[in-house]
Amino acid sequence: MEAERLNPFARSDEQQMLADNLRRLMRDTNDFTKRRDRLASVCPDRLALWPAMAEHGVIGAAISEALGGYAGDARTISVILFELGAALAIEPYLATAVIVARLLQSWNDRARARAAIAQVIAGELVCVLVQGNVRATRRGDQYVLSGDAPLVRHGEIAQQFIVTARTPGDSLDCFWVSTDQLHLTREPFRLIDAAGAARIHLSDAVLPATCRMQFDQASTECAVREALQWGILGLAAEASGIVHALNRETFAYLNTRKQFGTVLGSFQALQHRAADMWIAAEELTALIELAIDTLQTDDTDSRDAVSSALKVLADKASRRVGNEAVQLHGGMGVSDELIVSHYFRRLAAMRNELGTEEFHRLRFAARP
Amino acid sequence: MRAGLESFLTEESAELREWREDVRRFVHGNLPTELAHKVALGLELHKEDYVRWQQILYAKGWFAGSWPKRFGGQDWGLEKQLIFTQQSAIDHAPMVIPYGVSMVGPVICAYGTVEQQREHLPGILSSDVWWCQGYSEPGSGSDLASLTTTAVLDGDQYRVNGTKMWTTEAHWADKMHCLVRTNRDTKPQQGISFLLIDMKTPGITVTPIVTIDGIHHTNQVFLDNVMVPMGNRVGAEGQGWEIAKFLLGNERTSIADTGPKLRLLAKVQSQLKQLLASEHMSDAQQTMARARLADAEIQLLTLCALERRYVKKWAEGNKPGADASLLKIRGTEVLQLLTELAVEFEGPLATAHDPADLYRNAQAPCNAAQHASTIAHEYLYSRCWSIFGGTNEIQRNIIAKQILS
Repeated sequence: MEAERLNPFARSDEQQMLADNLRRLMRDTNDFTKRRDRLASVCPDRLALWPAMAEHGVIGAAISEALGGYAGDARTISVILFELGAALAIEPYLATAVIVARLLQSWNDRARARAAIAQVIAGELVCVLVQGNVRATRRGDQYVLSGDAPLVRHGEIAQQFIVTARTPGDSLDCFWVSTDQLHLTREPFRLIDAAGAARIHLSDAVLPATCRMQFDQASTECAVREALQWGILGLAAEASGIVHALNRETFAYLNTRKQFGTVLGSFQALQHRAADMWIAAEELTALIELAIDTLQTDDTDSRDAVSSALKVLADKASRRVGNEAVQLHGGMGVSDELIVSHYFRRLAAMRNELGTEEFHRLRFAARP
Repeated sequence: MRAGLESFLTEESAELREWREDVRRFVHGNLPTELAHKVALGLELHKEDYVRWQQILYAKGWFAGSWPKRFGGQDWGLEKQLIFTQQSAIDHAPMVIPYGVSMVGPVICAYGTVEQQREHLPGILSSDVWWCQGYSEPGSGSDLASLTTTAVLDGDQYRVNGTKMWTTEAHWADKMHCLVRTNRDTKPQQGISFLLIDMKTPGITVTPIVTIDGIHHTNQVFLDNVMVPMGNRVGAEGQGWEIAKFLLGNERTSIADTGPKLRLLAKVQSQLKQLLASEHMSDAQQTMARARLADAEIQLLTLCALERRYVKKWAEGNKPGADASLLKIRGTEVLQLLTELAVEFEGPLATAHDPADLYRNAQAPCNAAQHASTIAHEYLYSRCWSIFGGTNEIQRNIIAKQILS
């Protein structure tokens, strides 16, 4: 009964087909009630969809053909994350297939990079970037890492970490760290959107010097920045998928729920609020389009600035639409029975990912 | 950093100033430490926790302070009630659960027969009988007057059929005060009656509704041929709407609910203090965070000022109207703002949330993620307040009707 919807970021037939297939896959494997019950269980399976994502080439689509993937461009990634947002998939797609995959693609240890990418594409490796307060010191041909990262999303299910650490000279380095590394501990906990996370603690973890990653970019700092630009684009596309879905749910509810002998949608005060929700969704789509183009350029500063602008706008849109969707659904909006409150919670989690709105507003203000 | 806003909340009269001191002293001296601790940590309370505090208040004679003396109350004026509610919340006392003592109790005092008063008031006062409120229905939320749960006379009993929704704490309740339709052939408001229903009556099924915070506070209550003695109707047939309005009017001193908000503010202030002491924030971020807290503080201070002003007017005999709606709107908006700040100021762990943490042992040490869970819980639950008890949209309709007519 559900009409096929156009993905706002798909340009080619191929991209629209990818969106349609992904939507169908999600419908078959991530039905709302099943998902809710699965994630509410005592030991929730937070990788339930991961094998199917690998099998259907969804992971590979985020990675370039040169490296064994199928696409890997900014638009394809936006298309996918828009659909994953609407489907409320909490698998580590953004963290592994987008952010980490970007880093792996420019890791100059080609042999290890290729092997890792192949494993990622096959759904056999969950690897996440760990950003916290970690320091690395060189000791002979080894590095010693100490410090912690208070919240690493998917940190509880990852098999591999890329840990960012500051060296004594205060430059940024990345280390390839297995999760069973000696002197690495992780404390798992649940997040507001039912995904998992862990606090990662390193106390004098000793790594061979070969675990220090070097990238094609001018510096590790640049490589990480670039990966995070892609991350923000993906996150915004995911938010956009949710915002569109919430608008669709809310507008349908306004058109069916009757109070005072008429549908809610006939009240002008509510019509205007619906209009503002639609405006927020349109703004977000437009800025994502602009960011897709900016990511193709070589201008790192512009890419950073647009990424920050996008995160600020995505957070604002998500707050407005999330709040309004819940409020306009009345009691049903705050019930666990409806998908609306689950979208709301996912949006709340996203606002705390990859830098807060305040952080990015200030970073945008400080652009060169 | 400056302490809370309490220093601004001084009363005009010496008598009221003294009253606030009395309340503070009593709470400090009599609130069990474990309870105060649970409230301060923002954990979920069990029914026994509420009962325990209510019985302590009852022993002091302060449980039903607003009731007339002849029914076991103290005849407190509205201003005294406000100070009591506000100050005890600031000092970490559990809230008084309203469904019995603040809602149905005053109704039975005012509209009940002598038999009804004898039967129901003692259990309410001692907290031995727990009540819930059966008003909303699946098809009747904002438009409450359209409710369709029907009560049809069958001998000397009503046969009740229908479904109630958002019945908070029905799973704890011994009795429910309930709005039912006894007449379909008249204006919707005039066909409603007020019934007292024993929750053990055959035909009642209570099913949990889990809310956005992942917790079971509220319920759907199915009534399937539930037989209720005619003697359990309060007031005349068709008087239910008038009684419901009277009942809501009694809630006006707690509508802005400033006590818990002042308590939350103190928490947010200490969160920011900790965050500023950590190394996560740049100078610019610090300045912005301070400015945002100040803005929230000013909004809360204004809410307290509005509440004080209106309660005083009501105490002088003015009828509540748009002013009560204003308090509901601004109260819930300020709450939502404060909880958003609380989430932000919790720092990197802000989005950790496991509903199970809300039931952890208050005496055991907690880790950072468990602490963050209580903050996320407040944030999520705050979204309910602008919906329950008359949505903010309905409140704005009431205001518009008054100011534009």
